[in-house]
Amino acid sequence: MTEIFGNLTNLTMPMVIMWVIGAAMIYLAIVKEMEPTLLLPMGFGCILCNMPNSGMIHTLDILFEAGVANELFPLLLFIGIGAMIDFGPLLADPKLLLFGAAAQFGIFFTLSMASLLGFELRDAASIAIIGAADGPTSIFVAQTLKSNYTAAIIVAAYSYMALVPIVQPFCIKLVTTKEERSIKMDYTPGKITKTTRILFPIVVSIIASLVAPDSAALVGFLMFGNLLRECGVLRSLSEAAQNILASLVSLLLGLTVAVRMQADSFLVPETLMILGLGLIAFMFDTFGGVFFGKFINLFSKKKINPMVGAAGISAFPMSSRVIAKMARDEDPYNFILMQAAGANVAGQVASVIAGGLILAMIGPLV
Amino acid sequence: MSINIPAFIASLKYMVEGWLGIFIVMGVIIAAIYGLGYLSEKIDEKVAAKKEQ
Repeated sequence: MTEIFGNLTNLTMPMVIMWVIGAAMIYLAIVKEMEPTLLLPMGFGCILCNMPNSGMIHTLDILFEAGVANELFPLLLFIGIGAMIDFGPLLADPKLLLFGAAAQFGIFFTLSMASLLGFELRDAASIAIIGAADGPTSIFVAQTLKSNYTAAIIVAAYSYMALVPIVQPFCIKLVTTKEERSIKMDYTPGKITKTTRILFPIVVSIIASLVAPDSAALVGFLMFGNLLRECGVLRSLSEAAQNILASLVSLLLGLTVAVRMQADSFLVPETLMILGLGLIAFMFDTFGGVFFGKFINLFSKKKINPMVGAAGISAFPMSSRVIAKMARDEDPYNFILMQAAGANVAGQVASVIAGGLILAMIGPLV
Repeated sequence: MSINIPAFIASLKYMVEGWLGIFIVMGVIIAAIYGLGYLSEKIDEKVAAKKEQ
């Protein structure tokens, strides 16, 4: 009997708490449909990695070294994400890229806040990148900077991405008036040729690699995925990248990251602080975008609905849908979905560039 | 873990540099997109002219 039940004596209360956290992730994935491709395997892995003397840890450690420690999984996931994105609304109105830049404010604000709270620079930068609203970028940066809190950062990044429909409307209503939210915008898309669509991912990759070399892998894989989509001759590969590759890598990523969710390293006060800082990052991203919209309105004859600025985060397409719905809630005849979608894909580009800039600035110092 | 004012002050440099840095990169990309639009229109015109011939 000792052989069968002996291991039970190694069970500790923190392990049981981690089971509850794992179960909560599975619940959110299945019942609330919050980022299920990632939260479900992560929750399941979290439970199994918190069994006493769990053999799962050894197996997942191998996967972690093979796919996360060397940043392979997030980069592969970027091919799938790139293949999913239609840059059309952005190419139709390139100025929207500025909203993508403005809405990264939360990243840099949080970097300072995390430093104030006493986190090491490498951890502060890794926590700040939660504000990229982009899971793979968060993993890539946290791993490259060898942060001590990779698991908590990933949990926070994906949780807040799923909470965009709650966080963004709250923040936007805090800093805008009903009149501002009701501003209508004309949509007059410019002509986008197929050549432009094909050249865009190539040119962006070259520019990003030249200006922020550390972002070359992030931007390059994202844009390669987009080139698969736009080239028109690799439809089956594009579909495979969007569906099969993205799903498979998410599954492996979720399971693998769970190995860093062991009770002794995860149940620390810093985890709660990281969750708090992640929320701050998302909130200040939204504020940054909205205030930039208001700033533009000071000089522009054609008024911009400042909510479009808030869509400049990377959570695509959720953020643009939330903003479009908020505009319709204020005025049923106010359609700003295309402008919001343009800002949203701009956020996708800006977030990976932000990741590259963080690596360029902080990487040499750690 | 405790409040670290010197680290906070040092990080302000990264806040300003990083955020402005993104605007600069985005500005370059915007210019490239407009350039691409112009260039690809010319390419498409030439291709169409060749086809007509």
